[in-house]
Parts: sequence; structure tokens; C-alpha cells
Amino acid sequence: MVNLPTVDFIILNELKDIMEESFSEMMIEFRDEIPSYKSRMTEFVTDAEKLFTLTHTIKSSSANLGFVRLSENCRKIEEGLRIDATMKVDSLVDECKNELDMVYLEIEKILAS
Amino acid sequence: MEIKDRADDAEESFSNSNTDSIIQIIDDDKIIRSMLTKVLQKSGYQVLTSENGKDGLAQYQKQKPDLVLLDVLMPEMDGYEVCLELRKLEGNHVLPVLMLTGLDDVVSVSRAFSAGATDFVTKPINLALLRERVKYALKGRDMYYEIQRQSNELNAILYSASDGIVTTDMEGIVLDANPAAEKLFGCSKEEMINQDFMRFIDFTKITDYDMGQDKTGGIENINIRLAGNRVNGESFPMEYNVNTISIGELRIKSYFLRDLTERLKIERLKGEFIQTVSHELRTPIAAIKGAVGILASGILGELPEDVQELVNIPQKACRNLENLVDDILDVTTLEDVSESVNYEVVSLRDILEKLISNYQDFAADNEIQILYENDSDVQLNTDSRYLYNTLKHLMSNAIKFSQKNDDVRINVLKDKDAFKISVSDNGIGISDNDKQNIFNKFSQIDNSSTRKQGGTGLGLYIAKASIEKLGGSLSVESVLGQGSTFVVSLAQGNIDDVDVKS
Repeated sequence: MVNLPTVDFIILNELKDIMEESFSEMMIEFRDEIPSYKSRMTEFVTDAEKLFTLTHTIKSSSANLGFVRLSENCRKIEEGLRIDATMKVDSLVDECKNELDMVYLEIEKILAS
Repeated sequence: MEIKDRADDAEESFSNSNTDSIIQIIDDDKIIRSMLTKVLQKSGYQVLTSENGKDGLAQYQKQKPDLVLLDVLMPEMDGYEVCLELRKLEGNHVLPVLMLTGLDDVVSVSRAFSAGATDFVTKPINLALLRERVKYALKGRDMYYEIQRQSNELNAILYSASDGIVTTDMEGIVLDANPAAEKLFGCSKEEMINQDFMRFIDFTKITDYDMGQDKTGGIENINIRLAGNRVNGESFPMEYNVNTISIGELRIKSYFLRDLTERLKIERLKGEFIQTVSHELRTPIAAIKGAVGILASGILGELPEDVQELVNIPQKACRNLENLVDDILDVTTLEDVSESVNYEVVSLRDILEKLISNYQDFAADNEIQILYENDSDVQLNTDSRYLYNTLKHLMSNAIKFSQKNDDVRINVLKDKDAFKISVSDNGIGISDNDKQNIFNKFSQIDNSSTRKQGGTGLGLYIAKASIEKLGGSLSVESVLGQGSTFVVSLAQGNIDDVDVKS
């Protein structure tokens, strides 16, 4: 398995070019959502349908923002639940939450620079 | 006639971005909504957002955006359901709906299109590409509306036109007919479409035609007077103008049709009126001519010279009036389409000798000699009235416009299948400019010598129209100051010329 970085800077920079001055706003918005994402993941760990929807959402937006490892983590949960809704996803969810923390830090760094 | 494809025009006018459009984003992901809003606003669009299908539909109905970006996977109501509802709402299926989906498998894509999506965009979204797709989708919709508008405009014109308009393919099969055409032929458009249009036309009743040529010499525009056939079997006088139109690869014929019943009735009444009046005029003219003639003859006593001069005035005026009445009656006869041509075999020599005999006095008065070589005779199958009419006006003009002691020459030539009768003089001639107009009604070359000659201005018009009634033609060769030769040409495919020794 390819070891993905937390941030794919090529994607991020492309986004920055297109968004221009709105780029920082986007970063702040996503950063501010992270606590909510984490708490919802904890809450939905036994609710396959809600977890599926949540991870599907995070997968899309994080991919667009360049947070490729987070996106991949979400994809794994989504894929697993699609095949088997009863699948135990605790460890995958933990991995996801950890990655959310990493992304939080990266965003802080990006905003500071 | 070439017509530019309307689609090209519409495309040209929409090559710039249409950024006063409203884009709606229906997506449950706040980040996606935010990102797309910012990107689209930067491109100049107004943006509306909703976080679920139900709100999205309500927002759509209220604001009527120009394009919708729709997420597929949403709780409660997914994107497919929303799309189906949008299509129901919209009615005309022109709203561009771009589905945003993280699912790019064949089944999902196919489902998106089945639900009525215009396009689908996979996540993660390539923002630059999305912008182009939005722009392209809006352009397509605008072009559709423009074509529709132009089409509606055209239909309105066709629908309200008082002329019947029928289009056919190049084989003559009817493609379309407007309401005026339906009225003309007494049937519905549906009864005409896919029929051979020739069913509705009676070519045995052609009374007049005119063919216009395009630059390459191909006949494209035809104007014909003939008869039309109504569906109930009734025949009616009709004229039509037909044009062949090329639109890109497509070629169609377009007929503009008019019922002439009313117009012919009016023309007939007019003609009858003019004939009646003209005949009525002859009586008083004859009376004046008779009385003045007696005075001038001296039977009632020799007239003093100054009185004689006075008496010449009404005499000359009577001659002019008689000529005018004759000419007006000739014109009316020529323009009466019901007036038929009576063909019979006649001797050309007899016609010419009668002509010369009738104009001998007039020629002598003007000190002109008429020369005619009559070594062979020709039998013609024609209507001698019309032929005589043509020749008499040419003779009269030739004498009037010649100098004293000059001559007027008549020649007959056989040229392949045609006979050419020429009347030549050495008179004042006709300028190139005037040659354009001399055959028009009431045209008289305006200079002092012609005004002195008098005349009605109808002579050459009558001469040309008379010979054309027989299928012939009249042409002129002339040099100003050196004289003119008028040539009457009559095609005779089925006549043997008989050599008669003089």
C-alpha cells in the first residue's frame, strides 16, 4: 500500500490558484468542521448508514482540498461498509480521527505561512 | 439561394461567457458548497445553495436558476430523485443539471443520465474543468432558446402570411404548408404533406411565366401564372413564385402562391371599361373628322390660307386621337389573358404588301420611299392580326423618324428555324441609354424632333407585346444619328417556305 502524505501540495496549490483570496477561508471552514467530524464519527461508529454517509462526505471534500490520506481512510470505511454493513470499523475510525488531527495541524501551518 | 445555417449565427452570438446566470448548488457537504460557491462567484455567476433535495427543489421553484449542480449521495432524497423532480417541474427539459458524484462506475453514471442529468462531474472535482462545463452547458441552453425564438418568429410570419407558402423537397414532395396554402387548396396541411405537389398545379393552363437565373446560369427563381387544383376538384387561376433554396447540404423548393380569381375579375372589368370608353370615343372623333374634312376639302368653298391652317389643327388632332384609341384598344387586347391567339397559315408577302399599301400615303407625305424585295414568299402559321400590329408600328416609326427623301427598307431572312423580318431606316437612331426604355409603355425619347412627330408612346410596347404573344421576339440595332433596324424574329418549326417566282 502506498504511504500517502497528509497533504498533497500539488492539489493544494492548484486549489490556492483557483480560489485566490478565498483559499484561506476554505481552510478555516474545513478546520472548524474537524471537531464535529470527529464527534460524529464516534457517535456513528455502530450506525453503518450514518457512518457511510459521513465518510463519503469527508472523502470528497478532503480529496478536493488535498488531504489525500484522510480521503483514503474514509474511502476504506465506505468501501468496507458497502461490502458488509455489519463490518467492525472501530480501528479504521480511530485511524480516521487521528488523521483528522494531523490535518488540523497542517492547516494551522498553512494558514500561518 | 444560399441561407446560412441559423445554428452558426446563434453560436457566434454566444461565444462569450454568459455570466449574469444563476447557478444553484444542491449538496449536503458544507465544504463542497462553500468551495464551489467561491469558484463560481469568481467567474461572475450568482450562486444559490441548498443542503438537501427538498430545500433545493423549493429554492429552485422560487428563484428559477439557470443551471443546477446536484450531489448524488444525500440523505433522505438522493440526487437521482431530485433530478427527476426537477425535470417534472421544469417541463421543457432544457435546464442543465450537472450531477456531482464520487461514484464513477457505469451503473451510477447510467442512472444519472436516466434521471435526466445533462452531465456528470466526478469527485474530487476538477474546479477548472467544472467551470468550463458550466459555461458550455449554459451556452448550449442559450443557443437552444435562441433557435427556438427564431423558429417561433419564423412560424409566426409563415402562419400569418396572406400568400400560400409551400415547401417541397427536390422531388416535389410537400414538406410543409402554411394556413394560407391550406385555404387556397381547401385542405389541411396534413393532407398535403408527403403528397406530390404537382397534384395541386394545372400546367395545362399556363398563361404567363418568367424565369430568373442565378449567377451560374442555373434557373432558380420562376414566376408562373396558371391554375391550381383544389382538393374538391375545382380549378382556380393562380400565380406562384418558386425558389430553390440551399441551406448547407439541404436543398428545398419554396413556393409562394396567390389566388388570382379576384384580381382577374378586376382586370377584366377594367379592360371591358376601357374598351367601352374607347369605342364610345370613336363616334365623336369620326364626327369631328368628317365635318372638318368637308371644310378642308373646299367643297363648301375655298378657304383662305389662314383658315386652312386653322382647319389643319383639328384634322391632325383627330388623327392622333384615332391612333391613341386604336393603341389603347390594342393594349387592352394584349393584356387580356382570355384573348386567344388564332393560328392560321398566311402568306408573309401578302401581309407585307398590305402594310406597304396602307402606309404609302403616309410615306409619300413625308417624302420617304419604302423598299421591299419580294422575290420569295413564306407561308407562316401565325395570327396575322398580331403580326400586322407589330409591323405597322415599326413602319410608322421608321417613316416618322427618317429624313426627307430617305428610304425605309424591309427585308426577310431565314435563320435556322426562325424568320427574321427587319425594318430599317437611316433616321435619327437611338442611344444606348434609350434602348433600355423604348419598349416600355408611354416611353418617348425626349428631344425636339421626336416631340414634333407626336405619337402615343405605346407603339413599340404594342409591337413587342404582339410578337411575344406569338412566341416571337423584337430587337433593335441602332446607332444614334445613323438610323435603326428593328428585327422581328418568329420561330417556325413546322413550316415549309414556298418559293414563288415573282
